[in-house]
Amino acid sequence: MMKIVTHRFGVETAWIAEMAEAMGGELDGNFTLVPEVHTGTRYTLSINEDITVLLADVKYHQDVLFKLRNKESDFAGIFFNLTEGESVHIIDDISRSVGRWDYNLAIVDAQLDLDYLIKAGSKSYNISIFVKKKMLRLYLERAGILKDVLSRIFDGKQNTIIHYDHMSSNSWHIINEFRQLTPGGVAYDLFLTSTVYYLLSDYLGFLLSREIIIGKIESGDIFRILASQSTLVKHLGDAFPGIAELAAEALMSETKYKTLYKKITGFTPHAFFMHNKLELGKELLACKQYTVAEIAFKLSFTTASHFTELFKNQFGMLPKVYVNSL
Amino acid sequence: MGSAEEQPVLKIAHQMSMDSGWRTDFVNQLGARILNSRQMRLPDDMADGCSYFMEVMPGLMVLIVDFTFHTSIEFTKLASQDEFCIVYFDLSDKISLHQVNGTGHQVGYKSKLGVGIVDAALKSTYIPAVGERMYSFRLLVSKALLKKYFLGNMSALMVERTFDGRKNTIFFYSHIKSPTWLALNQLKDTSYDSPSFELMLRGVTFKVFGHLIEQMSETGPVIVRQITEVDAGQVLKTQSYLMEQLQDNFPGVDFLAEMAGMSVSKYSDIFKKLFKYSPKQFFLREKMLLAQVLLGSGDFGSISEIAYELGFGKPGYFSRLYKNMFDEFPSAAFKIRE
Repeated sequence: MMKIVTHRFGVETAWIAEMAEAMGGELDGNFTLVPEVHTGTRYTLSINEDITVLLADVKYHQDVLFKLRNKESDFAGIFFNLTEGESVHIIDDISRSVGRWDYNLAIVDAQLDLDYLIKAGSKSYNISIFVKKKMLRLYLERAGILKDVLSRIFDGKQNTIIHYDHMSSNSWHIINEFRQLTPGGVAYDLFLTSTVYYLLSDYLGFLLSREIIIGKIESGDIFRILASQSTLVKHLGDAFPGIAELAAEALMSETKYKTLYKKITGFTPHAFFMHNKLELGKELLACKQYTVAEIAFKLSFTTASHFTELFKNQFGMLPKVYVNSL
Repeated sequence: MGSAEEQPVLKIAHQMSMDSGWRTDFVNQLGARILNSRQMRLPDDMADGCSYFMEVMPGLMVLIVDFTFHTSIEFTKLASQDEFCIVYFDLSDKISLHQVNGTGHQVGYKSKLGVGIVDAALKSTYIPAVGERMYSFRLLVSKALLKKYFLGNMSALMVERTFDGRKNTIFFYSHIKSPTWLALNQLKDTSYDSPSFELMLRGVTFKVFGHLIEQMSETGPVIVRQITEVDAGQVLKTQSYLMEQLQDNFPGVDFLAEMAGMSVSKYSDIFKKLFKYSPKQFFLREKMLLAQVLLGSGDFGSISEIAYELGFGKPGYFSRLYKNMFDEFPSAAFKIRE
C-alpha cells in the first residue's frame, strides 16, 4: 500500500513538526522517527537564517509518494541524492529518475509542486539544502554568473528555478566522508554544517567551471558516459581498463568518448579513475585494518611506493603520516 | 638573507579582538589596507599576501594569516580583555632543513607542533621568517562557545572553574590531525579571489572546529589546565628547545627544569599537564615522528644513516624504539635515495 505524504519545506523550520506528523512519526530533538515508514536517520538542522538542511539516510519499508506543496516561495531546494533503488521526481507530469547513477543533483524552486516517489526496499541517502533565493542570487552575482545561470537554470517565463544535473565527483566524496560519521556525536552538527558549505561551494565552482555546451550534449550520450563512470567506480580494485575498451562499451569512438568524458565529468577517464582509487585508498587507510602495502596490492598498484608517491601527490602527505595522525 | 642575529627593522604591538577592530593597529602603525571588509594587505615593500578575517557563527571567527615578508617585523600581540581563545594551526612545513652553504650538511631540524590553543589573555611575540611563505590558520573562539561544548562532558562545576577568566588561562598543544591537515592544505591552494572561496572557508572552518572539539572532548578536561601564565611560558620555552634538539640526546630533566627556573618535580608536573607526556617521552615521540618523515623522504641511502642523523649510536636500538611506537620496523617506511 502506498503512503501519501503531503508536506512543505522551508528555511524556517515550522514544517519539520508538521511533516513528522504527516508521516505518522514523532520528533526527538533534531531527529524525526517514523519506524513504520523507514528505519535509519532523518535529521534536520537550521544552519542560519538563510539555510536549513535535511539529511535522510534511511531504508524504506513501504512505497511513499511525497507531495511537496510549499507555502513560502522565498527559497530553493538543492537536493543531493545518492539513493540506491527506485526513486522518481515528478514535476508537471514529467518524471525523472533520480538517485546515485541517475540525476543525482536537482535545484528546484519552492514555487513548484514536486512529487517524489520512492519504492519499498530503497536505500535512500539525501542531503536536501533549503536556501533563501536572495542568498543564492548574492553568491551568483558575486561570481559574475547570475545572468548566465539565470538563463540556464531559471525558467524565464515562469521566473522559477529548476535544473537537474549530476553532482561533481568532489561532491560525491564530500558526502561519502560525512556518511562515515555516527549521528549525534558532540561535533555532529558542526560536521553537517561543514558538509553543507562544502557542497554549496563545490556546486558554485561546478556552475562556474562547466561549459554551457553541456546543455547541448545529447542525453543518451550523457547517460552512457555516466554509466561508464559507474563501471570505473565499481572496479577501483582493478587496473585501468584502457580507453579502447571503455569507448567500445559506451558505443562511441575513442575520440568522442574522451572529449565527452572530460566535458561531463571535468576529468579524463584515467585521472578520474586514479583520483577515486586514491580516495578509496585513503578510506581504507582510515579504517586501520590494512598496511600500506596491502592497500597498494588491493588497488592493483604495481608497487607500494608507486601508491605512496601518487597518494602524496594527491593529498600532500604520505600515507604513513596520514594514518599516524588520524 | 637574514641571519639569526639580525634585529627586526620594525616593531608593532597590536590588539586582538573578536570583532575586526584589531586591524586598526595594523592600518595605523604599518599602513595596512583593508579590501572588501575581510582581506587586509600590507604595503608591497613589507610583504606579499594577505590576511582574511570573517565571522562564521556567533562566538567563532576565522583568521588566515598568509604572508611572505620582505622585511623583518616583530609582532607583539597584547593581552586581550575579551574572554576568548586563539587556536593556531601552523601549516608551514613541519620540518625545516637548515643547510650550511657549500657543504650540504644538515645542521638541524626544527619540528613544530601543528596546533596550539592559547588564551587571548596572554601576551605573545612573534618574528616571522623573511622570504618564506607563512601560512597560519586561526580560530578565535569565545569561551562561552567552548563552554557550551564541554557542558556535556564535564561537570558544571568543573566547567565553571576551567573557564573562569579571572583564575585560568587555557593551553592545548598537539599535532594536527590528518583530516584537518588535508582540509587546510586544500584551502591553502585555493585563491582568495575564487567566487567559491568564502563558502569553502566556512566549510573548512566548521570541519576544523568540529575535529578540535572532538579531539578536546576525547582527552577531556585533562587538556585544559590551571597553570599560571608565567610558569606555562617558562615550560613552553623548554619545549621549543627540545624541538630543536631532536638530533641529539635527551638533555635530561634536571637541565630542563633549571632552564625553566623551577624544581624538577614542579617542572615535570606542568610539562605533563601541557603536553600529556613526560619530557623524555615527548622528546622520543617527536624524534620518532621526525624519523618517520626522514624515512619516507628519499634523502638517505640507508636506515643506519637516519639512525645516526637522529643521534642514535646503535641503529638496532633505533629500530626497536621505532617498532615500539609504530608497531612496524623502520624498513617498512623506508624509501631509499635514488
